[in-house]
Amino acid sequence: MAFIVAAIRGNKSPAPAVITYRPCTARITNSADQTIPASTWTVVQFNTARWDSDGFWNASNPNRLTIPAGLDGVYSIGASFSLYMDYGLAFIVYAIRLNGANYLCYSRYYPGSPRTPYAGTISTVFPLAAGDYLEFMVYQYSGSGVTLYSVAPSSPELYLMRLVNG
Amino acid sequence: MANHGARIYRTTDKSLSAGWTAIDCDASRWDTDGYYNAAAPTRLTIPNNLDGLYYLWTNAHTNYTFASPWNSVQGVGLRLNGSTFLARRLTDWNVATPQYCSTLYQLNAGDYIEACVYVAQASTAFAYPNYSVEFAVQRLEEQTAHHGARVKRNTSYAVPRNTWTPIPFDGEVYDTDAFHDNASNNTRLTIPAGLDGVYVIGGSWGFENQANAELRTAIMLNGATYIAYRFDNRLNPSDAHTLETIYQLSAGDYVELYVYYWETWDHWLLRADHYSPHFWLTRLG
Repeated sequence: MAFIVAAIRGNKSPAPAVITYRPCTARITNSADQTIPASTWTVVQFNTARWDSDGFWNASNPNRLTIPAGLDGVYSIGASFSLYMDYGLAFIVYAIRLNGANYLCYSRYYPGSPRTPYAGTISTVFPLAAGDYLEFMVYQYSGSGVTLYSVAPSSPELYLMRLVNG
Repeated sequence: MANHGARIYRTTDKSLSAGWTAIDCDASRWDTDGYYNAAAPTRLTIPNNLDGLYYLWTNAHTNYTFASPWNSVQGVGLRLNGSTFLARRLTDWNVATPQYCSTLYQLNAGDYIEACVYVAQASTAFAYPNYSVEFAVQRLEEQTAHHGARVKRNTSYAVPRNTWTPIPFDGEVYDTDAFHDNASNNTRLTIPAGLDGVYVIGGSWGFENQANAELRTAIMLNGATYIAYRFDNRLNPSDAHTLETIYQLSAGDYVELYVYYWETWDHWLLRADHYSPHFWLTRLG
C-alpha cells in the first residue's frame, strides 16, 4: 500500500514526497532555542515532528522517540545541533541515550578558543525493541548557560529509521 | 534487493574562498540511477520515482594552517537545493583537518544535495582517494533479512602513540553472518560470500584524559584504503567520538577501525557499555 509521509523542509517546502515503500521513520525538531545550563546533563527539547510514520513521537512526552509495538528491529539513529560557545577552555559533550541510562554514541568537542560557533552530528546503528526510547543529551562545561539554537532543518534534530525488520 | 544511491568524489585539489563552497566532483564510485550529472557537478539529484528517505554523508580534508587568527572556523555541510543545510559540522581548529557529517532526510524527485566546505580564509580542499572530497546518498529501504554485525571490546586497550593502529574487538553485540571472529583477525569485519552490497559502516570510541594531543580515526578498507577519516584535537579531558560512512563492499573485503595518536606517551582506549569501542556495519541493499 502506498504510504505518504509529509516532508517538512524549513525554508524550502516542496510538496510532500509520495513514497511507494513503507519506511518506519521519524525526525523531530524544536522550533525554539534552548538554554543548556553549565555542568548538567540536559535532555534536548523537541516540540515538532518533521515526519513520523508510526507514532514514534508523542507530544505528551516530546523529548523522546519511542519504538512502537511490533517495530523491533535494527535502526539507523542520529542527531544534529548548533550552538555558540561564549567561553573558551570549555567543552561540550553530546550523546544519544537509550532508556534514560545507556549512551549509544557519545562525542566531545573542546574548542580551542573563546566565542566559537559549533555544529555537529552524531549517528549509530543499534538494535531496538518495542518500548525502548531515545533522547538527545547535551552537557557543557563553560561556567554559564549556552544557547542551543533552533536552525531549521538542522538544529536540533533527532531521527531514526528502521533498517531491518525484527 | 533494490539498491539506489551514488557516491561521487573529486580527483584534484579545490581552491576555496572564504565562506561556504559547494564542491564540484568529477568521478563516481557508483551511481545506480543517474544521481550525478557532469553538467551540474556539485549535485546529486533525486531521479524521478526515487522519492524517499535518504542517508546523506560527506567527508572532506581541508588545508587550514594559519598563524592568525588561529581560532577561525572551518567545517563541512550537506545542503539541500542550494539553500538549506540539513547537517553541518563546524570547528575552530587551525590544522589540516578531515571532517565528516551525515544525516537522514526525506527527499523528492528533483531535490538536489551538495557537499559544502566552510573556511574562514582562502584555503584548499585536498583530493585524497576515498575520503576527500567524497559525497554519498543512499535511499534507505527496509530490509527483510538482517545482514550485519556490531562488535565491541570487553576491556580497555593501550594504543601505542604515533602509530596507525587497528582496534581489536573481542566481543560481539550481534553478528548475523560471521562477519567477525573474536579471536582470529579480530580487528576485521569481513564481507561473507554472497553478501556483496552497500553497507553503512561506523565506529565509536572514548579515550582517557590527555592534554593537547591529536587523535586521528579512520575506517580502513582491506588494510590500505581510508574510506572515512576524522581528526580531533585538544583531547582534554577524556574524549569520545563517532565516525560513519557508506561504501560498496564485495565478498572478502574487510573493514577496520584505525586510530592514530600523536602524543609523547601511549594512551588507553576506554571500554564503555554500548559505545566504546564499538564497530558496526549493516547491509543496506
